[in-house]
Parts: sequence; structure tokens; C-alpha cells
Amino acid sequence: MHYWRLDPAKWGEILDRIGQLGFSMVETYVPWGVHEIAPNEFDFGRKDPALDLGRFLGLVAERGMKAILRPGPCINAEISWYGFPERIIRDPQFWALDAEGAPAYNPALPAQFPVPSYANPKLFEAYEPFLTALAPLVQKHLHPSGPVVALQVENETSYFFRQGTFDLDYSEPSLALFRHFLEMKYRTLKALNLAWGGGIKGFAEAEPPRVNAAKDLKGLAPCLDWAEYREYQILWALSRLTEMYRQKGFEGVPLFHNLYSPFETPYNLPELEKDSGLDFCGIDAYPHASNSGSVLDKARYMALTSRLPYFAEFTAGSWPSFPAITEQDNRSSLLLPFMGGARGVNYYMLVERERWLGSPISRHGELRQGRAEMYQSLNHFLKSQEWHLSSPQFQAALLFTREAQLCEAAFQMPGLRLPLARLGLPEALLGEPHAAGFFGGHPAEAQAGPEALRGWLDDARAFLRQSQLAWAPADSGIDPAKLGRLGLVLAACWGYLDEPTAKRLLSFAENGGMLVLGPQRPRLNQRLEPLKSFEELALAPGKPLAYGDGKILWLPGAFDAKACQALLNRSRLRPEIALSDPSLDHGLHRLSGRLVLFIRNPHPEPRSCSVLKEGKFVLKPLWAGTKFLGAVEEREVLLAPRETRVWEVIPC
Amino acid sequence: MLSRDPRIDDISDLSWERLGGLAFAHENLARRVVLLHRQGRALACWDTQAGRLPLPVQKVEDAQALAESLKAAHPEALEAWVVEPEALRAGLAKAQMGLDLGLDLDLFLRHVWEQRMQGSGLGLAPRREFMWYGLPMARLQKFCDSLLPERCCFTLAAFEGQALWAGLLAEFEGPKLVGLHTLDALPQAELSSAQGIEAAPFLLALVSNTLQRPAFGWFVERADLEAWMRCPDADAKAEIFQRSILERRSYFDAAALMPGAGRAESLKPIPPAEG
Repeated sequence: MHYWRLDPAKWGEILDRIGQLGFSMVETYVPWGVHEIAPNEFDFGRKDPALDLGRFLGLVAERGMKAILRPGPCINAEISWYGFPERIIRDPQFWALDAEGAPAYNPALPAQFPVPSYANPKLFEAYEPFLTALAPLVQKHLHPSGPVVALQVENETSYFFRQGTFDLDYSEPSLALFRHFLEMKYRTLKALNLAWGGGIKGFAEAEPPRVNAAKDLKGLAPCLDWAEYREYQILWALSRLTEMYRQKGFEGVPLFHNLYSPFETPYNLPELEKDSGLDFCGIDAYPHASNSGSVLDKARYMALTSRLPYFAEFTAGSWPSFPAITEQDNRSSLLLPFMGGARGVNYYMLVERERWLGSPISRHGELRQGRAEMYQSLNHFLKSQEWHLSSPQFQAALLFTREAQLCEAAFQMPGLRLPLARLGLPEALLGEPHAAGFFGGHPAEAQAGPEALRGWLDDARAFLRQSQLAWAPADSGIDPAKLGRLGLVLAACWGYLDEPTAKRLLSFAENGGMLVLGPQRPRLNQRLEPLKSFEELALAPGKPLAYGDGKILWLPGAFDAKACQALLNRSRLRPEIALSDPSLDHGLHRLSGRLVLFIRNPHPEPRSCSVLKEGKFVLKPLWAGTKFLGAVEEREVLLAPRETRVWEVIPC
Repeated sequence: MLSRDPRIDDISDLSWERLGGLAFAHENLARRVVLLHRQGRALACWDTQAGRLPLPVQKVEDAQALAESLKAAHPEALEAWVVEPEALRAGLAKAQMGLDLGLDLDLFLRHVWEQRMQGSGLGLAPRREFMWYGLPMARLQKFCDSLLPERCCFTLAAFEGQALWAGLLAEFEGPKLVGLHTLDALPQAELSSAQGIEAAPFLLALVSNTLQRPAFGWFVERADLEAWMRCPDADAKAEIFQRSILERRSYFDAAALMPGAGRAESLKPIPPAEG
């Protein structure tokens, strides 16, 4: 709930309503631009009672509830300037610049603004007085003596949704940071010149590319470095902010961040968790019923990759400039974070406010019946099942290697992603034409490029769905311990592979795993030199190679489902549970020795199916619709359109 | 036209879903044929429903002429685009360089659209003006600048038979849009007696009383509103609008925009039976 947008006289009543829904924790932004009433002068309730954060946190504590604070600097929240003070937005020294040297405007409702550069140390210096003013107030309310149990550092750091590799950020501070990145990566000028093809007299002279016109590997290196740098800029900014938070005494509670939706480059969740000082990084999700399957992907990705699979924002309604997310939409996606393996969900927004619709609590503190019951039922289900003890079961992963992602990004056309996507152009079409075949190789893979890569991924995904194995999407940052527990990994490779990633994959196969590679066999390492660990493998297209206790199957060019199925047939890997209708999704969890089964009907019409499992068993429904049911036994199950249901699988 | 800090609240998801479905229809659902090129070299041709198409030409001499021939060859597509990504980028950069930071969002987006469309590598057939959420913004702007009084509220009420299907209230001051709501901002008990487009005077009085500003509006059957919103051509929209009025399927009540309107007597609620 956004305390500053609500009548302070209603705060207590609204918190009571949140408690009535079964929640015991409340999250709020703390907007810099709202609390700043003059440059570096802040009001935390002295003048405006709606800004009395201390009183708000006191009310939270009085009710025995906990709080998560999100003090920015960026918050979005559909407010003008995304929570930055207008003076910051208007000052050109803070602006990010596009490849043509123009400021980059975010066309956000209600007012567009030139986006700031997150490579600019002055931006963080300008933010510091706000954090300094906020610190004593927050420290007073920090866990364990107060209700504040976590803080989110920044919000959806993402180049303000401008994902094009050759779009942002070409401001001077960003160029300086790029050169610093090159210096860290290459260490010596000689190494940089060796990679880039020579002619650079100092790191300060290294210019970032504005288009990929590479004719050879040396021409490609600057583009790859720029793509990698775009991840680094986010990491650098969040590291700096995290350090600031800690310096201000926000200690003893987790600090985290949230990705706005995608988890492909330049958004690198595992690197952020590893190197930024953050404790974990979540992902946001605003699905409609028709695309609610994306929630499963995100949850499962986090379950294999993140320290804490957490939806930092999960739809409870929507913002007005987005197609409305209705109660039916919310209902159809309600269980999916848990089905996928999420351990935490922040429902955004439980309390409606201006520029938001579809919350279970109105801004006047009234419960909206249907929505309110939905969250009450969910909380009852989670508590009664002790859901925090559950663990999702995975047998396979579809690994879109970070390296292939970076190659794809390095070959992006120079235009803007969003306008092109809005015309209906698929991602694969937005690659440079010279990308196909750039890396050469076996005749079957010689034309591999972004289109083949995306095609391979799509077909591999279809295969995994059909196989009914429990699988998750992942990337090179997959938790090695979790990788080791899988039976099958389909790894989309193109361009190069970091030596450590290559070793992890080979070690997975050596220890008994089945590794399937394509559309290209990795031949180069991160320095674009021969990848030694793969060099000596006697891989033949479509033929499994025994490797240690496991197998490696190379599917060059196009994904070969038959070859992959043959590999699977020769193994002992079988789905623990299968459905007679493989177009339905299912997920398995272990929960205190019990086996819990989710089935989701992604279709707009009702479906029924049989649950297939070795041995005798019965299904005890745990959730159907929004009702928590008692013991009913069944093996043939019926699902309403877009419905998800949950059962305990009981052997007998 | 859109103020910097408008109030957007009292929105029901059902009404917003219905109106939003129409507002996004053009952007999301329209079938397009798109030819991508790079400095005149054709790279790919894509039909958003049928997928990849063979390249109709190898070389793009005149992007606009090619867009028109593509549209003629694919009459089933709503639009044909010829796009050079770098021209898109350059057009946006040109539009954003030295921009007035105080520009309203709708004017900003229109400015960007117009700058982009001037780029030499881009073609669109049929040519059209800038649409935002299905609204022809240049004409709306002209209407607001020349006709709106200092304070007023536009009321849109769409009916399915006699029942209200969706509705929108847009509050203007100055004349900038300062508030946006669905009909949930009105007293629901009174709203329930609004039946069919004949309820226009009653609804306008209700809006005037509730929001304390003169109200004008369009009261229309759902089918006509859908046709108007889905149509990407401003002239064709005008035709749909006028025809629906002439054929008595909609009212456009603009009395509040006339000099002398908006007096006390026009704020008095009129029972639906009298309306």
C-alpha cells in the first residue's frame, strides 16, 4: 500500500483489512520526489500527515505486522518522474544518451521524461541526502526491534525498458564506465588490442560500437563487450546503491532488487546475487489469463537460479495504461508462483490508489468481496499446508546460455526494440543478417544465427512439454548444486561459451547427466579463442557420445526431437507423474514427505485428464477453484478454463 | 492536452477491460505486413499472421511507394510498413533532441510519430495520422483547443441494448485532461436507472452534479463505439460517428460547450423518465 497516496486517518483501518485477508506483511515505496519538498529538504510528516512514514510503521508494528520498504531512487508507481524529484529529471547532467547523442525519453503516463544514466556517480550523490534523511527513521523501525524486515534497493533497473543493445547508454559517464569495464576485463592494453584488432592507444580511446558491422571475430569483440557492459552497468549501479544503503545503517535485514519481467541479458539475476552485495533478486509479473504460463517460467527459473525465488511484484490489479488485469486473470494466475517454486510473493497492489485498478481493498478501506475471498483462501491454503516447507521437483532444464544471449544481443539491429516488437516482428528477425553463419562450423550448423537459436529453443521447449518431465528454464548462472540433481539439460549455445560454464556442463554429463547441445557446438571461449574443453570431444550430429557416466548429444542447426527422445528412451529418466493430456501443465513438490501435484489448464475451454503414475495411488484434492477442500479421492480430474488445481498424491 | 498530474481513479476493471480492449485493438490485433531493410537492401518480409513472406524486392528505392504496393498486394492486412531500424532510431533521436520538457505526453508522442514518419527509410500504407489508444490525437487536440470551456467533463456512455456496457469520464481544465474515471465515480444507485442512449440528459446532469463541472458527451451503442475505436482512419471514424447520430444510434450532446450552457438549471438532475 502506498501510505502517501491514502488518507492517513484510514491507514490503521486499511492495515486491518490487509490482516483480514490473511497477510502479515505490508510493502511500500518511500518516494524521494514526494518526500523532498525543496532541494534536499524532506518532509516525513512534519508538514504533511500523509508523509508520516514513522507513524505508518508504528501502526504496522502495533498490529504485529512486518514491513518491506522500497526507497528507490526509482520507483515508477505511475507517478510523474518515477519518483525522482523534478529538479533531477530536468538537469541534463544526469541524462542517459542514445547512440545518436540524444536524451532518451521514457514515454510514461502521465508525463514523459528524459531518463537518468545509472552510470553517473553524480546521480547517486544527489540521492544520498534523501537516504541520509531517511536513515534514522528507518533504523528506528528495523527488525528485530521494529517491523521493517527487508529493503528493496532501487526498482526495476532496466534502462527504463529500453532493451536495445545499441540504444543506451552513450552518455559521458557511461562511456567512462564502459572503459573502466574494459580495463577490468582485459587488464592490459595489449590484451584489448589483441581482442579488438589493435590501434587503441589507451583505454580512454576505446569507443563503444553503435551498430554491429563486424566482419570477423575481432570486429565482433567490441559489440560483445558492449553487450556485456550493459549487464555490468546495472550491476555497478546496484552495487553502488547497495553499498550506500549499508553505509546508512540499513543493516541486519536483507537487501534485494527486482527485475521488471525479462531475465535475459542485460538482466542477469545470478550475477546480481553473486556480485552486487544484494541478498537476492526477484522478478515482477503481471500476467493476463491468456499468458499466465509466463509466471511458471519465471518461478521455475528463479527456483533453479535464485537464492530466494521471490515475486517482488505480482499482479493484484493493474495500472491504467496497460490492458486491464481482471479478477478472472488474477484468479487464473493465483497459484502459479507456488506451482513454479516461488517462496515469496508481494501482491501489488493490495490497496487501490490513484492510477491503479483491480485491488482487493479500495482506497477507502473497503474489501471487494470476490477478490478478498480469493486472497483469504490462498493464505489459508499456504498456512494450513505449511507451504514454506515445500520444495519443487525438477528433472530437466532448458538452458539458454548467457553467452548465446550476449551473442544474440551483440548482433541486434541498431533500431529500437519496442517499436519494432509493437509492429509484430519476432525477436529472431531483429538480428543482423550477417549473424547467420558468422561463427561457421559443421555444415549442419554453418548458418546458425539468432533465428536458428530461437527456433532451437522453441522446439526444445515443445519437446520438454511433450516429455512431461518436470523442467525449468535456466541460464549459465544455474546453481551448480541444483544442476547436479537434474537428469537432462538442453543447452542452447551459439557463438562462444565461458570456460567455467563449459566445465560445469561437462561435469554435469560426466556425473551421469544427459547434455543436449545446439544449434551450435561451442567452439570458442570468452576470449573468442578455441574452447579447449570441448575441442577434443568426438561429437557427431544426432549421435549420443558417452562421456563419463553420462551422455552428450549434439543437435546442430535444428532441434531433433526424435534423437532427443531416443536418448531419453535409453535412459532411466521418466516423468514421476504424467497426464493423459500433455498440453496441460503440471508441477510436483515434496512437502514434509508428501507429494503434492499441481495441474494447470492453460486452455480457454474446460479439460479433463487422467493422472498416470506407477503403482497404486489416490489423489486428495487440496485446492479446487478458490475452495480448500476436504478429502475426496479421484484419478480422473476436470479443470475449468485456465484453472489450476492441487492434490496430494497418496500411495496406497 | 494530458496534464502533468491527472487524477486517474475510480476505475472498474470490467469497464477498463472493455474500453482497453478497444483502445489496444489497433496496436495489438491489427494484421500487418512489414518489410525490413537496411540502406535499401531488403532483409525480411513478415506477415504478423502468416509469418515469413518471400522478399517482394531486393532493393528498396522508395519506402513509401513500396509500402503502398505491399498493401495493394496484401489487402487482407490492415497496414503495410517498410522499416529501416536505423531510420527509426535516427527519427526518435531527432525528435528527442532539444525537446521542450514541459510538452504534454500526447503532444510528445505525436511529435515523435511525425518526426519518425518523415524519415526517408520508412513507409506506411495507408498513410494515417497519429493514433493514441485508438484516438486521432490531432483532431482531438483541435477540438479541445477550440471548443472546450475552462472546466468541463466529457462523458462517454456505451450501451448494449438498454444496459450500460462501459463508460468513461474525462475531466478537463484549461483545457487539459486533469481526471479520468469510469462511471464508477458516479453514485451507483442513481446510475442504475440510466437505460439506453435516451438517458443522455440524465447522465449528463448526474456527471455535472457529481464532478461539479459542465458535462457533454457521446452516448452510443456498443457496436458503433467498437467500430469507431477499431477503425484506424480518422476520416472513417468521423463517418462512423456522424452516421450513428444520423441513424439515431447515438447522441452527441454538446450543449455544455455552447455559450451560456452550464448554468444552475442544467446542473439539476433530470429523472430518466423526463429525460
